[in-house]
Amino acid sequence: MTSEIEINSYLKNNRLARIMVVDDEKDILRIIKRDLEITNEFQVETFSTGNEALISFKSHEPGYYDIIITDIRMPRMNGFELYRNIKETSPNTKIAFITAFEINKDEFTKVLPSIDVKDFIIKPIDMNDLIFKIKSMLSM
Amino acid sequence: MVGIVLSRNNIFLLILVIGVGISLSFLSYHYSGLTADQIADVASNDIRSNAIIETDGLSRTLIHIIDPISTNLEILSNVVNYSNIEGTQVLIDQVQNSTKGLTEGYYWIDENGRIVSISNVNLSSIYSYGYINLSNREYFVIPKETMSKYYSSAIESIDKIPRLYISFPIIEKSNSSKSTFKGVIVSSIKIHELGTFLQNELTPQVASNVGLMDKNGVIIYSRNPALIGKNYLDTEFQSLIPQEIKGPYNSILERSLQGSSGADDLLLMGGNKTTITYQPVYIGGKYIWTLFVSAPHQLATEVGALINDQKNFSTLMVLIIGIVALGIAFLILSWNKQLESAVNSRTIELKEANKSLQENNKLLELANEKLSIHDRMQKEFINIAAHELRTPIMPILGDAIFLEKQFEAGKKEVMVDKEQVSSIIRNAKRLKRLASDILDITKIESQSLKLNKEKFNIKDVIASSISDIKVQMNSSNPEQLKNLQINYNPKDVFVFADKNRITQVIFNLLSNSIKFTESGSITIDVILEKDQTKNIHYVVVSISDSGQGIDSEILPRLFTKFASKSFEGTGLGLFISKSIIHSHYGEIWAYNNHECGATFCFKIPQQ
Repeated sequence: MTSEIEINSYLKNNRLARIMVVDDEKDILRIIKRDLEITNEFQVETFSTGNEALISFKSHEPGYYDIIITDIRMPRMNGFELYRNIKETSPNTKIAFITAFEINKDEFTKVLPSIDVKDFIIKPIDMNDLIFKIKSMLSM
Repeated sequence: MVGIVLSRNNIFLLILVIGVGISLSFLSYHYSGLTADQIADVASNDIRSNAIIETDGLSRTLIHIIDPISTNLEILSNVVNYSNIEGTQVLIDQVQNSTKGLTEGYYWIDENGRIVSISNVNLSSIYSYGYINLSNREYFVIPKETMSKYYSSAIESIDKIPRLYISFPIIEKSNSSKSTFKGVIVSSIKIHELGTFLQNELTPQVASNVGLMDKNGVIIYSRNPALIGKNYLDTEFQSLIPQEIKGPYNSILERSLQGSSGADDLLLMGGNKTTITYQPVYIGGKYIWTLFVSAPHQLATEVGALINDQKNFSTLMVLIIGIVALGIAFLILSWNKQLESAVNSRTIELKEANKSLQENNKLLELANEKLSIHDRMQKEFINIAAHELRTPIMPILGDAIFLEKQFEAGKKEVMVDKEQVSSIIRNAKRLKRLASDILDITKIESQSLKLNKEKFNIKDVIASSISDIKVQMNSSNPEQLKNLQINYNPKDVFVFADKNRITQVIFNLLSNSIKFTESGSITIDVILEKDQTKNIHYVVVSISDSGQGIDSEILPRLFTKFASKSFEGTGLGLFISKSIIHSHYGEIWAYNNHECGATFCFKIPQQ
C-alpha cells in the first residue's frame, strides 16, 4: 500500500504527520484529537477559531502542518476564509473541510472555484473514514 | 360625420379648398363669357359673310336663269317670220320647253298688239284671242317706243298673279337702214316660282329670306305675297318693319337702289341681329333689280345662348366640384380625426397594456424574488438544521463508540471521565433544545401556540435567565464569562403573561447578545410605560450589549426565520421570540447603538 509507504516515510523522518483541526465545537475537537492520536500515526493540534488557527499557521515554517482540516460554519472567520488566507501564504497546503451542510458543489465552487467535492468530510464524522481520507491526502 | 377639431392646419386647408373653388368658378365663368362672346362674334361674322356670299351667288343664279330667257327672246325676235307663222310656232314651243321651269310662256305679239302665237298653244286656238288688244301694255309700249328690250316690274294680270315680263321688239331692217317695229316677243315669269326657285337655292343652314326689288323700289318678290308689287315706302311694307330698325332698314334699302352692293347688321329687340345683304342684278349690262338676303343671327344667338348656358353650367359644375371637394376635405379631415383618435386610443390601450404588463412583470419579479428568497431561506434552513442536528450527534456518538471499542478489546470495565459524560449530556440537551425550537416553530406556523398566562415577577425570570446563561457559558466558554459583565438592577415588576414563554424570550435575547459580545457588558433594563391614548401600561424590557452590533444586511429581516448569521444558533430564536411577544399583543424591536453593540427591546401589556 502506497499510503503505508508514505506514512512510513514520515515515521522514518522521525516525525508523525501533523494535523491541524479547526472547529468552534470543542466537543468535536476533543473527539477528533483523541481518535486520531490513538492511532499513533498523527499529531493533532486543535483550534476553536479560524483566527487562532491562522496565527498558529503563520508562526510556523511552511510544511509544519501536513494537513489542515477545518469546519466551514464558524463565527467571524469561517472555513473558506481560513482556506483563502492559508492558500495565500502557502498554496500547496492540503486542506479538507468538515461540514454538516448538504454538499452542493455548485454553491461551494462559486465561493471557492478550486475546491473539489472530495475535499469535504460530512458530519457526523465516521472516524475510520476520516483516517482514510487523511492518509490518502498525505500520499498525494 | 364626426366633429372636426378646427386646428390651424385644418382651417388653412378648408380656406384653401374654398379659395380654389371660388377662383375656379370665377375663372370658368369669365372664360366661358369671353368664349361665348367670341363664338357669337365668330358665328355672326360667319353668318354675315355667308349671307354676302349667298347674295352674290343668288344674283349670279338669277342672271343665269334670266339670261337664257333673254337670249331666247332675242333669237326669236330676230327669226320670227310673219309669212311662216307655223314654223315660228315650232321654235317658240322649243324655247318654252327649254325654260319651262321658270317661264310661263312665250308670246308673239304683232305691231298692233294682237297675239300671233303663244308657246304650246294651237294656232287654231290663238284665233279665239284675236280680240285681245295688248298694245297698251308696258311690255308692248316700251319696246315699241325704245326699240329695245324691256324688263318689267311685278305686274298683276287679270288673274291677280304677279308676273315678270321680259319683252324684245321685233325690228325689220330695210335697205336704207331704217328700222320698222313689227311687234314684240314676250316671256312671262311667275314671280312666285322665281322666288321659290331662289329660296330653294339658298343654303338651308342660312335660315334666311330672299327679296327682290326693282330699281324703283317696287318689291318684286317677297315671302309675303301681299307685299309683291308694293313700293317699299308704302305703309304695307313699312308697318311690317320693327320700329327699332325702321331707320337703318330704310336707309339700307335706299342705298341699295343706287345699284351698289353691301351688307349691314340690324340689331333687333332682345339682342337678336339680322344681316341684310343686297346685290344689284345686271342683265345685259343693265341694272334692273336688287336682290336682298336677310340672315337672322339666330344661330349665333343660339350658340351664344348655348355658350351662356354652358357658362352657367360649367360655373355650376365648378361650384359642385368645389362643394364635393369641400365635402371630401371634410371627410378626409374627419377620417383623419377618427384615425387619429383611433390611433390615440390604441396607443393609450397599448400604453395601458404595456403598463399592466410592466406591473405584472414587476409583480412577477417580486414573486420571483420572494420565491428565490424563500428558496434561499429553505436551503439555509436545511443547512442550519443539518448543522444543528449533526453537530451534537458527533460528540455523543464519538464518546459512545470510544467507550464501546474498549469493551470490544475485552475489558469488563472502562474508565469514563467527567468531561465525556458532561459532553454527552450537553450535546443531548442541545438536541433537545433544537427539537423544542422546531416544535415551537411548527406550533407558530400552524397558529396553535397556546399561552398559559399567570401573574409573575419579571425580576425572577430575568435573574434565573442570567444564572442559566452563566452556567451555560461556564461550561462552553469560561473565558468569555470572565470578560463579560452582565448588569441588571433587580426590581419588582409584576406582569400577567405566559411565564415560560417570556422566560424563553428573555433567554433567547440574552444568549443572542452574548453570542455577539466576546467581551464588554450586557445591560438589562425593565421600565413601565403608559400608553395615554389606550390607557394601557406596558412592561418594556431592553437588553443592550457592547458587542459587534447587528449586521446591516440582517437588520431589516432580523425577526424572520433563519435570518441569523450566527454560526451557533438555529436562526429560529428571534422568530420564536417575536411570535411569542405578538401573541401577548406586544412589540419587539432592535437597533444598533450609537457607540457599539445593539439593543433588543420588547414590550408587553402589564395586565
